[in-house]
Amino acid sequence: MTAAHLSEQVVKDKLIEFIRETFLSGDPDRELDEGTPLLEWGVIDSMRIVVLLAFIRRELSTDIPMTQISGANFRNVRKIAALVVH
Amino acid sequence: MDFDLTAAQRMRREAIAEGVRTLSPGRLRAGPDDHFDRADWAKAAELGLTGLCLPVSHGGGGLGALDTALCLEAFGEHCPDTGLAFGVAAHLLACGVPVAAFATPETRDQLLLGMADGTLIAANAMTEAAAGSDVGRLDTTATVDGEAYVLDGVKTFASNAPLADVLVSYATTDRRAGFLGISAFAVPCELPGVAVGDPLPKMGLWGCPAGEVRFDACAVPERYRLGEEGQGSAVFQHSMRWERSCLPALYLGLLARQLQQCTEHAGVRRQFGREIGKYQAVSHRVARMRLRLEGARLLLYRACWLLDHERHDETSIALSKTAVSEAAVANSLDAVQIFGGAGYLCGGGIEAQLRDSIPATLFSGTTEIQSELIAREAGL
Ligand SMILES: Cc1cc2nc3c(=O)[nH]c(=O)nc-3n(C[C@H](O)[C@H](O)[C@H](O)COP(=O)(O)OP(=O)(O)OC[C@H]3O[C@@H](n4cnc5c(N)ncnc54)[C@H](O)[C@@H]3O)c2cc1C
Repeated sequence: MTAAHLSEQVVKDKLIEFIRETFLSGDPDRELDEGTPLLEWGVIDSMRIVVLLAFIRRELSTDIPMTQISGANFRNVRKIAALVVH
Repeated sequence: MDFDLTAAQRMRREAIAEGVRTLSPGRLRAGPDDHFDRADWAKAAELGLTGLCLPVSHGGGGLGALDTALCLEAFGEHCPDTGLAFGVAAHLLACGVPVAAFATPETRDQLLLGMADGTLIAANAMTEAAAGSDVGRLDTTATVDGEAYVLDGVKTFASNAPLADVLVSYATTDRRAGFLGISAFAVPCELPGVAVGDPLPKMGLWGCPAGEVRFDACAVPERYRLGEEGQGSAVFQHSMRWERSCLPALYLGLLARQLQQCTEHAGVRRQFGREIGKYQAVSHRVARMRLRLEGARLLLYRACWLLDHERHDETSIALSKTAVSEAAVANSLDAVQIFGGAGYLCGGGIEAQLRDSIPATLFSGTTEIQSELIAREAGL
């Protein structure tokens, strides 16, 4: 199943909201944007990616196969949204 | 649902029990410097233990996770050298499994046969001074240079390393990609730039030597990479899924042996004119030990069964790993209490069970990390 029915912008917004609430204590200073290097800054680590993948499966109806889990695909919200939509 | 072992499963376990009785691989160890040697290892290998779940095409037993665990349980029950059982299981699960699943065909052909038949000893070298529970950032680096990766860095606590022929190790190939910038390698120890330190003195599992591994400009040809570049965390998770599911089974065996010893002791040791087992303080302790053992065993069998059915259930594995390791520590404390002073004396085997059990709550992800995995999966 894919989230082809959702626009890339909607997916980006949902991902940003989820990452803010779940990993960044709400991100009060609004530091996260779609280009923030999530892996490099440790916003997503090996434990958190499990939570993120569960969110993508549940809320965005997309199962991301293990072979797609790479540094390039999870670099930032823009990349993850592209992966989810395509 | 069927709680009976099949005839084939029973026969495999009996063959291991019988083989351990006749070959006696390993023995109760006398001190932290008393390690197994290649002769002990070869005996375990002769029983098929070094290749249980490796592919038949490369000399392995081709067993699934549950059957592998049942064999390790039998080994743990009959082999007094828990360090040897641990070393063999770590070789198989943390090294054999990822080489079988992720190595290039060429590397599989080169290494797997020897790993399965035990002529090659493997060690898993992940942990670093600054990377224990959190293995998402490794100081060890692997830099591309032509057809090779040049490894630099220091690993620690690699079980089997002082005797190893091959290391399964992990290094950062792209720092900007965080935990997705880690790559896995099978490194033959004969490569220039690999140095293994002396065995570290440990509290228990004396039979199994663990040591530091140093990579100093060690050029590892690309064919030794496991999986794709950047896939190291996934390779490691795959190996840990197997290790966390199957390896604790050897402790189920230890606990079964211990329960038997405690029951016998409580039946013959007399104080105040009666067997101590006639005192509820003792007999109920034995009952509680059995409860912990059997509960843990069911969780472990189920976790392995789920793994065999490709039902990726990290929670079941984490529950099982926690239950077995906590049962091992609690029951081993109880055993010392039931044996009294004799349980505290070195050489009797009871105190060794406690020392060997304590690390089970640490290796393959600590109890706290298992709880964290369970909580995360629950959405907390
Ligand atoms: C007998 C034995 C054999 C081993 N064999 C190997 C081997 O073959 N290869 C290898 O690479 N390594 C091996 N190890 C190392 C082992 O994997 C590490 O010891 C383990 O992962 C814990 O890391 P650490 O010791 O650095 O503890 P730390 O990670 O520093 O943890 C210290 C304490 O903090 C807790 N903690 C850490 N993070 C969290 C968190 N997020 N939430 C709550 N609590 C937390 C831990 O649970 C623990 O109680 C072995 C260890 C033992 C004891």
